[in-house]
Amino acid sequence: MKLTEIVAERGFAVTAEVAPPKGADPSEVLAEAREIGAHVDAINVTDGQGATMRMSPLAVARLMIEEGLTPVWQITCRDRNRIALQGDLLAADALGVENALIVTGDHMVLGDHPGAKPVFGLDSVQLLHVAGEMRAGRDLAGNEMASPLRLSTGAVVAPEADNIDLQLIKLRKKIDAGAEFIQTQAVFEPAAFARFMQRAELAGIPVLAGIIPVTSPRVARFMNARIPGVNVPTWVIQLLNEAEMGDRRRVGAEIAGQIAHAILPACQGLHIMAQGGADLLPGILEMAGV
Amino acid sequence: MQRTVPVPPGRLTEEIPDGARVFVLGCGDCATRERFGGAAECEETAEALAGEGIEVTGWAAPAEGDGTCDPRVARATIEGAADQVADADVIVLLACPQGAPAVERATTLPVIVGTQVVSGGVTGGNASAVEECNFCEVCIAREAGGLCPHSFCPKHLINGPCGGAQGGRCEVLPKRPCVWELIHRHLKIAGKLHILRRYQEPVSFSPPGAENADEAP
Repeated sequence: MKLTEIVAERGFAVTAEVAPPKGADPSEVLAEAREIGAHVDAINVTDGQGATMRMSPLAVARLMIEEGLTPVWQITCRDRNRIALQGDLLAADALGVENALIVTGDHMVLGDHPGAKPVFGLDSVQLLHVAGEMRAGRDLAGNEMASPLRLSTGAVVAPEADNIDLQLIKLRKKIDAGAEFIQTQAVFEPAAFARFMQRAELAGIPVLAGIIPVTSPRVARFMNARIPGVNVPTWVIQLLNEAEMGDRRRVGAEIAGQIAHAILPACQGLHIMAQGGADLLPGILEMAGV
Repeated sequence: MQRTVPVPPGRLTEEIPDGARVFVLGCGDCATRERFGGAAECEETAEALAGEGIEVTGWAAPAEGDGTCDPRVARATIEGAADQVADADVIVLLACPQGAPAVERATTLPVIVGTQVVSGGVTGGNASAVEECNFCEVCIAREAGGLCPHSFCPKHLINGPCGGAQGGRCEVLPKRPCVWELIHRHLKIAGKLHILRRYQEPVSFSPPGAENADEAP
């Protein structure tokens, strides 16, 4: 089912995410997806996240569909040129994928193959635009296609990035280019997020706010240093520092639940990024009140 | 300076809004030396535009040696022709695209850069260092206040930044400022943020001179 249809029916949607394995055996990621799937509407499958080499998310997305789960297939502009990107959009559609999240992608230097050739021949705004053209039956070059693309495409925004003005301008361009849903990078400050949502020109497009349970001060420092657009505030790090070592996961989930509860009225759902923390999900959702 | 040439007259005419009156502004430095924006070229362009039925209110080029990329030169030249500029609706700039920021700060009129970069290299003088020019068919720097996001951003993003800049610095090259921060700051000062809202089409990576399939015999 399309995320847009879920939001239209119920007023909100909840998504989570999994990462494909670094290896050929999908059993673990599928087990995680099954566990998460009981609590959420759809599950994002990341595309070489952090610029690390992993299994193609298209395979995981298809395997999830066979298990009755709804994937949100992520596609980055980092590794493929415009021919391959369009080809993979069609492939995903043919394999039953209904939601694609289009992102530029983390740069190679942040990952485990820093010498890989950066492609970035299209940016996320352009690929969203191309997907819109493909839904109308034309490819990027203007050629008629034998059948149109059907899948729904969404986009990301970082509401706590350095320069909010620029993020808002780019978000508007993504919506103008045909983004049908938005999933955000992690949100930690509800008041700032509410201001961000007031300023955003969304044209009725649903926004699923990003939530990351931060489970230790070390993880927080790693995220701040390595994950673009994420700024774990000092108050979160302080609370984790004050917690007993064995209690930090619970505290992190509690903070996430409180943030989720506070921001839910300002948006149309949650996107909970808790990789390896499937067990934390029910608690976070309960605190959020969904 | 990068090797720069005038944009073809046909395309320039297309970019000028219907009925808009034009003031042509040149450059006394590189553009005079390389003959794409000195007094002679300004006069030529003014005549060519008039020949296309466009009303030209006048033209001016700074004294030889004075670069329009210097904000003081840009301001003085525009003030020196204040009456003609006041009658105009747009300025056609015959200088490197890197000259546009200085002109955009000196006037509230829209600036149409009448030149494009056709060969890369490192710039000097007041201009911003740009590298790895892609020789785009339509120069992106012309749309971004003279700062080229395609060559400066490691992800070649031309529709706005990623979310990764920290403290205004590039996430990939932390010693460098994020070019989008520079573009944003410049266009904000110039009151021309609307430029950032325009959708930028994908650039072509086809090598210059290549015969594309649909053009081949």
